[in-house]
Amino acid sequence: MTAFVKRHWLTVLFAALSIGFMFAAWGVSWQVKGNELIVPSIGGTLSQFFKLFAEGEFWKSLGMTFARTLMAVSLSFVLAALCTAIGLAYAPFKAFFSPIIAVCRTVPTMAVTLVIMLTFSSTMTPVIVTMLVVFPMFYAQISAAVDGVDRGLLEMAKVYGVKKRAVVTKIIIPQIAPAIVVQLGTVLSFALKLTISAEVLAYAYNGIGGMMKTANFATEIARLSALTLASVVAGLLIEALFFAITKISFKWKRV
Amino acid sequence: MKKILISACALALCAGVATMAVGCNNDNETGVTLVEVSSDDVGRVNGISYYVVPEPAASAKVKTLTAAGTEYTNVASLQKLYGEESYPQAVLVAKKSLIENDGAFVTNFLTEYAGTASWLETQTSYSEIVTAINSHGGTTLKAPMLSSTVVTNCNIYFKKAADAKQGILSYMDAVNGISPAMFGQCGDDFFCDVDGISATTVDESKTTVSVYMPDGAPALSMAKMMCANPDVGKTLDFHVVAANAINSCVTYNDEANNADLCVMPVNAAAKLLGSGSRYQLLGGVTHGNLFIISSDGTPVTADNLAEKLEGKKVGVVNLSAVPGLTFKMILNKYDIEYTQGSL
Repeated sequence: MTAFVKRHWLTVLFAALSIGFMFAAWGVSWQVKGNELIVPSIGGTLSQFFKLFAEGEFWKSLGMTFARTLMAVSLSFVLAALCTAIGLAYAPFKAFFSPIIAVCRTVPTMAVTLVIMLTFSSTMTPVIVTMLVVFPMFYAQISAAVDGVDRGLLEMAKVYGVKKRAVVTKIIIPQIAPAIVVQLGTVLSFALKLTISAEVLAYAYNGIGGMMKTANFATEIARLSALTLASVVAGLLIEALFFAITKISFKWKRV
Repeated sequence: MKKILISACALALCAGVATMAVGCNNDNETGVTLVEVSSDDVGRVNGISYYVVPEPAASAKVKTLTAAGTEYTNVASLQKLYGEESYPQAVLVAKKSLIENDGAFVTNFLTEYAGTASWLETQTSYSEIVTAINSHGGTTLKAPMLSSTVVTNCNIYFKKAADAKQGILSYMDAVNGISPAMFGQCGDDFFCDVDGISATTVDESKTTVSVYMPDGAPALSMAKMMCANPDVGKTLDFHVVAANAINSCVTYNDEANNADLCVMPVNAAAKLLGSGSRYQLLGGVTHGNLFIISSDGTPVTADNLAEKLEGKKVGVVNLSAVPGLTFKMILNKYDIEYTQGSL
């Protein structure tokens, strides 16, 4: 028990130290630079941060950004799961798909955004850009999780003549689910960041990225910083939520 | 299996709700739909036949698009549509301490600077100008894209603060009516009485004066001072910076790091320096350089503006900044409804 308490205290202490370090670095940069338009003060940013909560526009934009992120992540997840399943059932498909995934993974996001902007609306561009980045990530994660399934269990199921449906639902999915759910939180948080960047590039004004761009044009750098802080908090909350879901749902398996 | 089905349904529901939320952003089909475009997108977006672009980029775009096979022309000047006199766009501000302690230099500088418009008119080659601007920080301007027409379209001439004041205040009121965050308010102290500057005060300790300006038309406004190097009693240290960096050149806590003289957008000058306690406005420098370019060759005038733009998408470079606000202000003036849409 003492060891448990000591271990958690240290974790909390070091996490607090880390947050303190980041704020200290911010404070020092602000002091050294001495220019609110380059590095805004912590006080000014926090004041703007809390003001955001009273703005209808902020909630509307946050909802829109979340909707885009969710749409991109959901579609990418379904597509990646489908491709993995087809690849498992028919091996040549996996080979066919590998170069496509490699291209999606390495293509520069900025260049893709600029091209996509010319074809799709600024509302849809962030969704497509996020999908292009997130889809290969999901595909790799799901494929790796499937590859990591206990082969012994699969052999045993084969020996005992367990139905294929039962193999998928009772062996494969329970084994890959914990890892995927944990990754889902990280990917969602990353996708949120990506969507916001794409919103800025694609002039999607009805989103957090659009609010950031407008704040920048209006030389309201503290507001821009507050919006950045809000998106960081939103990302951390998503990760914490998925971490909690994993802890509650998969108590039987230590992830 | 039930759990998988429930999870799949939840995922599909999420995607469905998100699709609906994203899709519920239909553009208004009446009036004008304003769409933000980058300078590179001008002429390349399907469904947009009118673009609001600043000079010198406007003429360069007309030239390249026409050479590429689609004939584009400059169909309207926002300055003319604005009416009366053109609106202020970039202004010259100076440190209050410089005006008070070194009136002789400020007077000399302004005397030379006021001759920029006529000096630019006499230029036949622009390579020297571009080289000079490049040597002070870099520019996107290219000599072949400059011509006497382009330079004239940039509307560069110095207008003393006292003469420019009313125009600036009217423009500020109109823009604040659209987006109060863009201008804020400025006091009377912000406007310097240029004719009242004491030409006898000299600060011997100061030998170099820093002059900051953004790239584009404001940099062209300093071309004479860079190329002709007139004797103004001090060494001039020019800095051409990116448009989004100019505002931070006057906001350092340590005054020594701030620009002595700075050409900056009128809205940023009013918002950041409007109290007049640290900087004062010496005068207007560029007076509107926005143009509508289109593949429809018919000129757009005050009489046919509403008819020409009705139901159309108009691409605006920097829609949420001064160009966009100016265009919205003009649409308001002609009672033309507009909505902000997407590409």
